[in-house]
Amino acid sequence: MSRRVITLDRFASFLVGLAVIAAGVLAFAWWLTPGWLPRSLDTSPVTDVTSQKWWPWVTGLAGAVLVLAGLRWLAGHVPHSRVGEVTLPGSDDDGRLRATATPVVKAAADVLQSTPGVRSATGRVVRERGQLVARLGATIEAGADLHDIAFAADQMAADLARVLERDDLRCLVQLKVATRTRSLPRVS
Amino acid sequence: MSDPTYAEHASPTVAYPVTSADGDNRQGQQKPKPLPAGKTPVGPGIVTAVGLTLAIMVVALGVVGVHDALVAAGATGGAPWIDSAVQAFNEVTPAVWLVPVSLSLVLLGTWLLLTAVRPRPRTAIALRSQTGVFLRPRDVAKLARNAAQEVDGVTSARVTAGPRKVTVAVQATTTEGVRTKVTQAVATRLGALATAPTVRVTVKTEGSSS
Repeated sequence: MSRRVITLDRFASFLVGLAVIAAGVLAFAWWLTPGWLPRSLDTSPVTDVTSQKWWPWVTGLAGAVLVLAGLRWLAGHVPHSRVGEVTLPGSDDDGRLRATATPVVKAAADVLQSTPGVRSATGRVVRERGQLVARLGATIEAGADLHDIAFAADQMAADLARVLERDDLRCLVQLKVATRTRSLPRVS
Repeated sequence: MSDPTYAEHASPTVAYPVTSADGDNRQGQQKPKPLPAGKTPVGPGIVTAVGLTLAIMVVALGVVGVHDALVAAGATGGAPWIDSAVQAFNEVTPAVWLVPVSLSLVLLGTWLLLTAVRPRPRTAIALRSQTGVFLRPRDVAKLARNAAQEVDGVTSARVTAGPRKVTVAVQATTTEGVRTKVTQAVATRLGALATAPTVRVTVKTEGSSS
């Protein structure tokens, strides 16, 4: 889910909230029946408009636009932020160096997986909340040493920095503890 | 970790040895700093559910417009929905039911305003590292439970964990020294967390009433 969709959700929630509060205040004011509000509702001005010849065209067109916009808004909530290729330093007018980033991060995940206590690891590059992120997920044993894993993650992130040489790339390793315990080799 | 492990996967459009922009060979140089941490993971939050609901309502509103246009064109039967909805409100007069309705609308609107500005919930606890390494609270609980269960005399353990506090309830064959040992074991196991949580341990001997 992109930052733009989150911003749209917040903006829409704010606007609808204001509109709903205004409707509530107006309804309460109507109950108090001050002089400036009609005693009963007269919908004839609205039905006069809806009986115009141009009205079906407007509703049809506006309806189609709303359906498309709503579906686009809904689709924006589906996570699809995967990044294909990244441009490497050294690119200029003569040529561009591009690398498929996710296989590189997958290779980094394989290296992280070789750390004692890490059962499995996967990785991909995503665009997330305005950042280009090497996102790794690792399943660790319940008895794993977190210091070792954090150290291995730092090493792996340093290698990624060296290989991809992108100043704007960030790294995020999300650890999950395996549900079923597997005994780890002990060193005496 | 050997360099070719990554270089094989990089598959650049033009294959060059790994060199910097100015042509210096980087091999033998000091290792660069790890990639900086990405933003702390957050959950979707209620605002996402509100956004989804509003998006569905926008689609529904569009369907109403298209339906009425099709009815006017004679492509489908029935009455226009907009006209029917508007006419239902004709000659409605204010009554006492407006009070709970208006109050509910104000409350709903206020909740929507607060939801719009409320930050999304953080779902991760950071580890002490140069790059971003995170655990979910439930995983912190699993680690703490494993550490508690490895203490001599402990037969079972239940753990609840939050960002700042870990509560451990253990059943043990004896209470003597178990509390201290469990506290130490859990604190040691979670020692790599960026913010050390407060560990609270309660010990019950097997057979004692709860």
